Formats: sequence, C-alpha cells, structure tokens
Amino acid sequence: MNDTIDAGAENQVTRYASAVRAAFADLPGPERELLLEDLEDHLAEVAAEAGGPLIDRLGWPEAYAAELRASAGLAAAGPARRRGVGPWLRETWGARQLGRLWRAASTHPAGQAVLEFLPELRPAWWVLRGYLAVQAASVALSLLDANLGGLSFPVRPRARCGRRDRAYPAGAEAGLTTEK
Amino acid sequence: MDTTQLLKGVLDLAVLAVVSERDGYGYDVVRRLRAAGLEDVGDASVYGTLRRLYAGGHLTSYVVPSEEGPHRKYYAVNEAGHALLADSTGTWRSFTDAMDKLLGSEGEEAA
Repeated sequence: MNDTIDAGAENQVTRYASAVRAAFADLPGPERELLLEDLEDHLAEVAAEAGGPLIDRLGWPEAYAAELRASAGLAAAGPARRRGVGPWLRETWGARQLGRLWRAASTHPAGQAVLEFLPELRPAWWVLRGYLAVQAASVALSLLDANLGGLSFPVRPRARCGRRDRAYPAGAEAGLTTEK
Repeated sequence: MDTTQLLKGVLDLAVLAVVSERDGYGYDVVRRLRAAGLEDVGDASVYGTLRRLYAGGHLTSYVVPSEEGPHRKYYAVNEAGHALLADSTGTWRSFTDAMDKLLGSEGEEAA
C-alpha cells in the first residue's frame, strides 16, 4: 500500500497487528472492526518513522491491546471464551441494541456506575442459567411423558449447571472513567 | 510523579482540546498531544479515547482519501463535544486552582 515501507517493516506491522487483533477475539465483529479499523495504518505510520522496532516504540502488542481496550471503555478481556450460542447471540439484533445502550450508558456518569456493578452480577447469571436448564429439562420430560403414555424414564437428566471453575477478572476496573 | 496516571484522568479533555483546535486522525492527534508537552501519552490510549468519544456522540468522523498513503479517518468535535469540552475545562480549572493553592507556598520553597 505504501511504497515507503520496506518489506521488513510491513512484515513487522502485520505480525504486530495480528497479535493485537487476537486480543480482541472476544468482541463481536462490527465492534472489533470499529475499534481496529485503522490499526494497520497507525502501525505503518509509526514503522515508517525512524526509531527502531514497533515493540520498542509501542510496547508489546498485548499491552497495546489492553491500553486500547481500557481507554475505549471496554472491560478487560476474559480468558478464552467457549464457543457456543453466546457469540452468535451477541451478533443478533437484540444484542446490537444492547451494545448501543451500553455505549450510551458508558458515557454517562450514572450509567458508568451501573456498568461497573454489572460484573458483580455474574454469579447470579450462572445460577439463573442452571435454573433455566432444570426448567427446560422438566418441561421436555413432561412432554415426553405425555407423548409416550405410560412409558416413563427412571433417570432424570441432571441439569447442566453453570460451570464456575473458571476465574473471571473483575472486568470493569480496567475501564477508564470519564470524569465530567 | 508518574504522569501516565495523571494523563488517564485528563486524556478526554486533552484529546477534545486538540481536536477542537483542528480536526485530526488518530496518529495526528497523538503527535499533536506530544508536541504540546504530553510526551508520555500512549498511542493506544489516544486511539481508544477517540473511539470512545466518538461512540459517546462527542465526535463526528469522516474519511479523507489520500493519493500516496492510506485513507484516513478524521475526527471533528461536534456540539455535544464542545459542551463536554467546556464543562471539563471548568472542572479542570477549579481542580488546578485548588491544587495550586494547596501546593503554592510549598512549591515556592522547593523551587
């Protein structure tokens, strides 16, 4: 794209950019693109200046990503997420509306207070998921019972309760607060 | 004193001030902040702050095509941004006044 950048610098830009992008794998596509759309251009511009390797100038890509994430007002990245319906759900219309609401809330002091409190609700969310799974299983079983007449199942499946063995960071503390 | 901690609190204000002076794209804003004396400002912090101010409705953006380099996303301060800038400037002034008073006599002794 830019003739002034030699192949080595371009390679460096590509590697640095992909390491930064990897740290945002948990974000939904459109949000990620908005955040990282001029990442390569920025890196190329820094690399085109004299002053040594990108890592010397900008720090490690992971640190760059964390700084970008915090200053953009996003919670710190959690551990690698399980792929499931979550990512799909996040891309849906309802989730986009929530995202809009989230962004609106995060620019308002009262909204920020609420957002900082949200991660505290995670355990409750896991419990609710377990409860819903139990309810769904009993509805399914009662339907089966109804359809199969006298045939009943001696074994009731154990509800898949939320696994809580994974550590979550207290995400909100990384967000920069906007003092107004 | 670690200026990066201080910067965190005032980066919104600094970025708004720079962009209100003249529209700019990400790295241009970084350079202008450094030229103004905020040498420790982090590139990623400025990019993130621009994104957040934009998402919060305080900046608008437009793309400027370039013949030799990449097309660049420029940011401009809108009405809401100017209001935030004015409000934050007031907060900053009263804060620094208080700090100046607090440090005044000791600062002179130290100097």
